Amino acid sequence: MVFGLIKRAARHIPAVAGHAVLIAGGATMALPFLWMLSTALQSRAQLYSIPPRWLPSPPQWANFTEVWFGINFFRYFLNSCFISAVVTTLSVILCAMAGFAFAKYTFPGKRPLFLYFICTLMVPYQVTLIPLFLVFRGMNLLDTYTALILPGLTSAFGIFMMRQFITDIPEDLLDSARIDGSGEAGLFTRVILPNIKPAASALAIFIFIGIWNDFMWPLIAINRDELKPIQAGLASFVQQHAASWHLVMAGATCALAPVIAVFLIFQRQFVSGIAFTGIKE
Amino acid sequence: MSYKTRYALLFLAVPFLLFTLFRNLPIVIAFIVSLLDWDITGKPVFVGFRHYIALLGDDNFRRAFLNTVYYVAGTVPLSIVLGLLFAALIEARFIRGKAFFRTVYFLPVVCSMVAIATVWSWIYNPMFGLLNQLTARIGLGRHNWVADPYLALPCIMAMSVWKTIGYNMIIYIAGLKAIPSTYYEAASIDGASKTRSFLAITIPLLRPVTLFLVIMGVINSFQVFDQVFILSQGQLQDSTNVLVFYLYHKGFNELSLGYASAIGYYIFLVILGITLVQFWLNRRHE
Repeated sequence: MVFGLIKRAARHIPAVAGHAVLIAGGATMALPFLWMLSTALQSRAQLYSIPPRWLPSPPQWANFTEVWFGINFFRYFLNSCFISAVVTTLSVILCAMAGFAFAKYTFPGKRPLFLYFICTLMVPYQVTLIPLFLVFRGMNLLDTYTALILPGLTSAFGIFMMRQFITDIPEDLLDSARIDGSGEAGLFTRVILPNIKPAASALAIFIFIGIWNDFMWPLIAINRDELKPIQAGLASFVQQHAASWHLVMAGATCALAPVIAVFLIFQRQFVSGIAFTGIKE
Repeated sequence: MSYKTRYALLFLAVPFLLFTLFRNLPIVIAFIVSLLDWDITGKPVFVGFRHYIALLGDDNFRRAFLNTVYYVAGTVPLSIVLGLLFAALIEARFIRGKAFFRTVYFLPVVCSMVAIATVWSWIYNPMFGLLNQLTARIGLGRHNWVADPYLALPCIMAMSVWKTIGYNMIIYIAGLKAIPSTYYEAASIDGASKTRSFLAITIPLLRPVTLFLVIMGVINSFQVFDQVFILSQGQLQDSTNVLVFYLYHKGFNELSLGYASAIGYYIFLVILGITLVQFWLNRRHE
């Protein structure tokens, strides 16, 4: 009987070990976030307590009001919201328009034109930093929202993705709309856009997260504090107030919260979009 | 021009203009600037390929290149192996809470590198950081971490692995789901163990996925910047000097626009070369 018990227990070893590994890994993934939140709610004195205090008592919610209003994070946050919203909306529409043209029309020079959009995928973004700086300096647009918006509108990946999905829309659907008297522009708004909603929302999430998290271009293009998006604002704040870790962590929390919220809400679309990038090879 | 062609070109007009101005033309301009000696204020002087040649003898550039290679070699394989491990575990039949684990592991991927690196710089803090409190307690002693020249880059690498595992995991999960279960059934009828079928079925069938992850991983890691910038407090240091940081430093701190552009083209060439080699290796393998 004892033998039988051992045998039955042994069958559970992989499950127990597997869960143990995953929980340990998951704890490692979660720990920095918890530490960030915990620090963000501590007082300055509690920062230096040994051993570290995980549950701040009482939680210092005032840290958030201080970074939010005392240190301009409110402004950084609004800047990022504005830029991300504009870029995401425009970029998805432009990618869908280009994708539509490549998927459903034949015209002279189609292949070379497609290559023209795609060929730069391999070129790292940093190669273009100095020319972009020069171009925007030449147009007198450094230190403006325009400088933060325009370069974000060129997503070769987005055009490629939209073309793939629009190709799958049956030709009959377009033809019957044409017979019903729809013009080509009407086809785009009434047939194409409603039919690519899942792919377009996945792309929108990608672009939103990419723009929200972008750091290097704002670092170069923006000098005025009131125009900084939140990542650039956080970075300059860290450099000035390195010792105020409770405030720095409160700022980092503000910089992370929106993307985490978007990810948790739209997780399914996001993951299916990611899987698409893996399959596109 | 037919009516439909006109519309197609109309749809493409704005994207074409934007790509030309902010992507394709800048790539050409970068090459032209790389042939100039120019500090923005003065007159540009044409120097041909002199920057490219000078870079070959530049110790800081060599340092940046070697550090970047070290970074790539230290992060990409580890993060891919761990990604596969966690993907295979999460997809295993006996695991409960798959969706929960997927979410937790993937969370760092969507987060901004700047905020994440900021959090880790607090964890790595030599005085009161979480890591030192932990290592001191378990007998590994206290260290300066990012302030220690030998540990600085490995610290950045550890953080980057932590941040990218989830991406590799998600792609591997998609790959695992695409493998027909009949393969495993046949193997188990033939008496193959779980380990054996993982090695003989799963890994070979995931080859294209792995190739994709290696290429993307190498390309992305070669462009590492944000985390290095944050964890070195924006100061270029020998120990953490990487290619893009060096480009940034030369271009925007020293305003050597031509020199920095040449660095950019070297980065491009290296990435192109690695990608071609990887494709070639893969084709030869098949």
